[in-house]
Amino acid sequence: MKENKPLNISTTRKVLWGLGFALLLVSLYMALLFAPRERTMGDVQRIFYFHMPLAWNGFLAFFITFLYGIRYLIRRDLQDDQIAASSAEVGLFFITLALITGSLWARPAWGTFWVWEPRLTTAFILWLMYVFYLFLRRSIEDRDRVRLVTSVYGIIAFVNVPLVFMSIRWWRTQHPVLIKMGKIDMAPQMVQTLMVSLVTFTILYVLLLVERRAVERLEDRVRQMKEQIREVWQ
Amino acid sequence: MSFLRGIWEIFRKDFLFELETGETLSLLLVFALSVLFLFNFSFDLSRAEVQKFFPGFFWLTVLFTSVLGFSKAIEIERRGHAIQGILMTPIPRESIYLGKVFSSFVFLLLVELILAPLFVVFFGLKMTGAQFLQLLFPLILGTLGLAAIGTFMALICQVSPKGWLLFSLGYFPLAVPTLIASTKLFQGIFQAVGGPAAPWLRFLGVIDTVELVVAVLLFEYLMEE
Repeated sequence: MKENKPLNISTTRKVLWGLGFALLLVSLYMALLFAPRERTMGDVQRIFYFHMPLAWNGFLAFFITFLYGIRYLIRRDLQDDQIAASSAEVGLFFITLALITGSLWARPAWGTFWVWEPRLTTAFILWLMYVFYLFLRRSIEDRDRVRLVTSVYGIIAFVNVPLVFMSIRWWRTQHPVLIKMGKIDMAPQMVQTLMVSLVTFTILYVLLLVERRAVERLEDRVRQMKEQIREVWQ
Repeated sequence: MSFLRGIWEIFRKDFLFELETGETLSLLLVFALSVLFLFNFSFDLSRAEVQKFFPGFFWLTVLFTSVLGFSKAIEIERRGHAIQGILMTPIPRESIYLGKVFSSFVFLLLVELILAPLFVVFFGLKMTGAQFLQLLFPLILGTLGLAAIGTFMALICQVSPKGWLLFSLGYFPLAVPTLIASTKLFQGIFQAVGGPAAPWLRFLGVIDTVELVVAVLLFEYLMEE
């Protein structure tokens, strides 16, 4: 087995964490102070600068789970499965935050915490799907079976996302304010804030993925060691 | 053995077993009936409201009943390790999955065809013969979609007893598009709302095709030893 020292955090990782943290502060400053006050919604709109990148990265994370699930089925490389599983977990975290920030924003903006609108509802169903993914991963003892089954599920779940979105969109055709968000002439500072925040959260996603994967790799190694010990004893 | 022949043989096995025991159909019917009664007590609908709520009630009853149907379908294969026996036959792997989808589809459809008229009996639903015939298209396409995704999720979850507890949790979100489309089509038939039927029928066709194709492609990985 390759000798790796996961407890020694590499310099690159340290630098990236520093960068991520610094960018988070910059985004916070831009979202709260730099971006101008939105005319109709007021300060509440500032949540959007965090909400949108969170949601976007959630979708990205599930896409990565889908891709690495396919890769695992083809190559049977443990690393692919570790990335797929880690991404699902980080993605669930992002989507959860996106749902919470979204509903905090919806209360003052729409007068209600929740609207059964296509994007919200799709995000909610995504949340349910990937909670199931995590449950499924913990419900099976046989590790090889876990990897196969969750890769397969990660694929079929992601393929279903467009179907879910379309069905909900056609189910309720009225679209509240949100859909117009992109079309409102946003002030240049607003666009800049959004972009910086998007980059920040994407870097944070990658960092969390790397860290989570390191844990996953350690777990796999512990399992291997346990098996070796068991073999020796028998 | 050819692909289609394999599907037929798996279906025939389930069908003959059903003729012998009658286990599945009786179980599903009684369950659907009890859901029907629970709806009645929970909502206490007037005659006018029945027309409005029938599509939703009907498909929810079908969804809950189908959970039991898939448990039953898996249980039959578990008994005496029957699935190992099937895997040893020369039946192509994809045919095994599609055969199981087909038998679940047929059993569910039979239950639905009995269930729909029961709404007339118990709730005074107004349904003409023409309307009943119109129900057939969404019934067939919707049930096929549920059977495709349900059978696949059942195969994913049957790996361990703990996994089986999760079945509904995995199955419901994936069944959402089928459920929405089927309910919309039913609403169109009973209330003339929900827009024209053709786009929804096409959409159901797309869902069925996508689910079946992806499931067939992935099925062999689930059956690996």
